[in-house]
Amino acid sequence: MYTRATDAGWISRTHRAIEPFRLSRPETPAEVIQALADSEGAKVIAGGIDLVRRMRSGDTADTLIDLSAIAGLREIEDRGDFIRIGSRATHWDVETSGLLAARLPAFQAAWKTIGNVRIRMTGTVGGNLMAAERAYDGPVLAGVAGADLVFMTDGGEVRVAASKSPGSYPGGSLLVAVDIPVTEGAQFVFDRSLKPVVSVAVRREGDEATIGVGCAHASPFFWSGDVAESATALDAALPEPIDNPMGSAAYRRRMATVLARRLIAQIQQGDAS
Amino acid sequence: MSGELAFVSCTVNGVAHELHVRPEEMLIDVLRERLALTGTKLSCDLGACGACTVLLDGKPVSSCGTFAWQASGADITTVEGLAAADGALDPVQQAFVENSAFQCGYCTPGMIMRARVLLDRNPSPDRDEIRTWMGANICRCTGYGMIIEAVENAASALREATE
Repeated sequence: MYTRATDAGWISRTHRAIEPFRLSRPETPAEVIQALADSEGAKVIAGGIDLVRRMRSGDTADTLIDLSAIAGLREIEDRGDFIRIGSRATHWDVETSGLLAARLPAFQAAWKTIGNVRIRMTGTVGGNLMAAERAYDGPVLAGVAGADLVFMTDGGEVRVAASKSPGSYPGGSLLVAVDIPVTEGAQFVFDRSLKPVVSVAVRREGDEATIGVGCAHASPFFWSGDVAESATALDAALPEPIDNPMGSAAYRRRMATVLARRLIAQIQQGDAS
Repeated sequence: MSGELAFVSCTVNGVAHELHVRPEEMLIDVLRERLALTGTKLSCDLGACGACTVLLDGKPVSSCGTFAWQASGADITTVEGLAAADGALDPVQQAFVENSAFQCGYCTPGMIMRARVLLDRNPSPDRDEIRTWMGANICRCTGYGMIIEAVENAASALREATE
């Protein structure tokens, strides 16, 4: 029923009904782990940007585990040779962090291009990474930055390189933080202008480049090697991209290498930090 | 399966409310159906267009993409809460009227709420910042030019009022 008589008269109402679920509101990461163990169909909600959209489109959950009452997951901290970003930090927190502006300005500038103001003010770093959505930018940026994902499990803390596919994440765990290494002299650039067909991020450290290709495969593809040979080597190493009406495999492949070349040229011209 | 009801205590436009909601009940439905605040418009129902924007503790959120229990403890402002008690329009509302910054008008409440937050945070945004900020909301009549001009004029009016 899309309309209903109310005190305000006949009004339209939510027409994408969400299936009922139980609500769990743990106060510690350990309670989250327990709640995940208690319900096989449980899902975690932080900002909810991705999850609510999915549930509006038919995804279901036995239990939603709300992270809002858990303290300490939203901080952005200087840990010396890396910056720790709490998984509940919003994109806006990243965008407006003075610490990131000082220590990882190019990474911050790239992260600032995610979504729009509405999404950035509510959506979280953890949500973007854990959504395992091929068109999302977080996994490409974190992977190229050499980040580690820090998970809390029932056996303690587990670290997984952000460049690994979501299939390698520990089951029944909670992403609590993302550790981004800080390396003097490293340069970082990102081009998402062809989303959702392809996006490319490049990080250069000395003679070595790391290239991440997003949108073109189920999860981002990463390549590392000699910067002088990077675009050619990327073309040779890139697995067959997705072929669909949004973009052919040949076009995605071609544009991945074009964008990589442009970004490397941008770095060489000194337009990155 | 049905979950237990969640208790929500919040203020909406300065009025305290205590409600029991189903876990899957969205904030927009509580505002429109229970509180009869139909100024907030339901459009895409996916949290994508911004027509249902309300302020949660001063932060703009899509009320169709927010569960009602997520607003527990919050101070909520809807478009009905902007005008003064005597009916005087908020400067942003006034600027939208004076610039005819609407065609069908369905997106207007969400546009006004988002513009209000921008001007609360930056009283002197440049045109690029206004475009970036308002780009989070969709006007299907494509009346963006007048909307951006209205926000510019509202910013001027707010600055003049505080000088």
